[in-house]
Amino acid sequence: MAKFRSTSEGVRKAGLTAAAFLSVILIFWLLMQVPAFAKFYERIEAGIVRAGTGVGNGIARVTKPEQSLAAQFQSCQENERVLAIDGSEYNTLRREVQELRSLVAYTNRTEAEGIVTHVVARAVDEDATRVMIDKGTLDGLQKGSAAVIDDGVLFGMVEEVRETTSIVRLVANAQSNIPAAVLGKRRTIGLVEGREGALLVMEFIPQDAELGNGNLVVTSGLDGLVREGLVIGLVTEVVSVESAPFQQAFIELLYEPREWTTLLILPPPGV
Amino acid sequence: MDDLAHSPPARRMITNALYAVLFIITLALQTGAVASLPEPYRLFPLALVMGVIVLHERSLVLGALWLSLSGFILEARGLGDGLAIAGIVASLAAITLALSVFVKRSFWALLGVGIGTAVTYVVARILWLFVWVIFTRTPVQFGSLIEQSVAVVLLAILGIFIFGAYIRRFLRWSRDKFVSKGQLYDISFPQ
Repeated sequence: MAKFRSTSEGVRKAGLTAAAFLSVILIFWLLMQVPAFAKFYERIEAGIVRAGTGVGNGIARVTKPEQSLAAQFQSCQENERVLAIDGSEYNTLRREVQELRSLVAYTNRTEAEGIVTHVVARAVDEDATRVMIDKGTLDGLQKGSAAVIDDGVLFGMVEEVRETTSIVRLVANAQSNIPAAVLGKRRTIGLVEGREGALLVMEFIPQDAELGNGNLVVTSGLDGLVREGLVIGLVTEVVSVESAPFQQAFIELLYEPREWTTLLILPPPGV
Repeated sequence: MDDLAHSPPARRMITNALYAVLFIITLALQTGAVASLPEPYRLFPLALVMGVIVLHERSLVLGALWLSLSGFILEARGLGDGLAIAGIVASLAAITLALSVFVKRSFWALLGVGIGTAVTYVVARILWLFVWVIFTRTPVQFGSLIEQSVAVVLLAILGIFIFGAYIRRFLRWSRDKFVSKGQLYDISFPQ
């Protein structure tokens, strides 16, 4: 009888412990349904992400000495990235001018407005190719919109939209499929898919397409979701087998996703 | 258990509620600060380490809730796949280890529970990804996944070694401050 009483007492206390713990989490969850509180909490989360990113960049600097070959290589890559972005912008603008000349009626070119967002959380799984941002349906975000960083570099796509937050799937995610073209070679079209780490693969490249290391890959806009000309990455290796119907190219991202905390969300063209 | 009877239930409830606040802060730090660190530090399983320490130091129920809810919440927020199942499996493993294998409340027992739980967690994740790959046909690099899983276990061990003693001291201080001085554990362990 005493043992039974002791057991039931233990179960009661365990129940009370769980109830106290869960009730606070439930209250927090209910508060998160209030947009004002959710925004307040997201501001705190964004601050934590910024602090963590700052610490992370510091650690990265300490573990990579300035004089190392890796650091010098990184510096060269940075210069290459800047040039690549300039090249992309130049080509996009040239094409736009051609279109304006051919279309007399087209007098005002309207640019779709983007929404500036901040990263409030990052995925904790192995590939870490998703981030949560602080804007949602209340701010007019739409599923499928492109998330852009820097000067027109594609960061990812909005995968899921909630009331006050959204999930952005990074370009490097294994489920990511983005129609792409090689800059300056408009007919070279392929599908960029995520692979391990920061490595991407461009599939379904026609065998007759001329492709080489160092070519810049940009979005083609074929899916109607992402505008064309957004930079994806650089070709590092081309795999071409004569018997295969298509070529394959490995692409390297021009940025470290972990280092970015501010994104520009561009709605699909025409919206 | 006698000491527990003298503990004011209200104070115990407040302590448990404070653990819930600590849980929310831990998750924010996991997805914000830790996930923003470079590889391999971003893999540090902060929520898992804290869950194991809470389970070992404070309460089986709290620890189990901590481990399973952290996975569930992170997955529900869209910050990882298969984390809910891995969290539930890890919490079951942690309870079993704490009740049957590492029954003492020593630092080494804590380390034992931590290693066992971390290994179970990563194995559950890998198995889940196997099933996920079969159903979704999404390419997963299992070589790198295993490397990262090893890193998760090593970082968990390192985390318990470095922070375990401090967190234990803090939890014991808060228990003495808010619950009842000298009370060893929320639920009695078999001797």
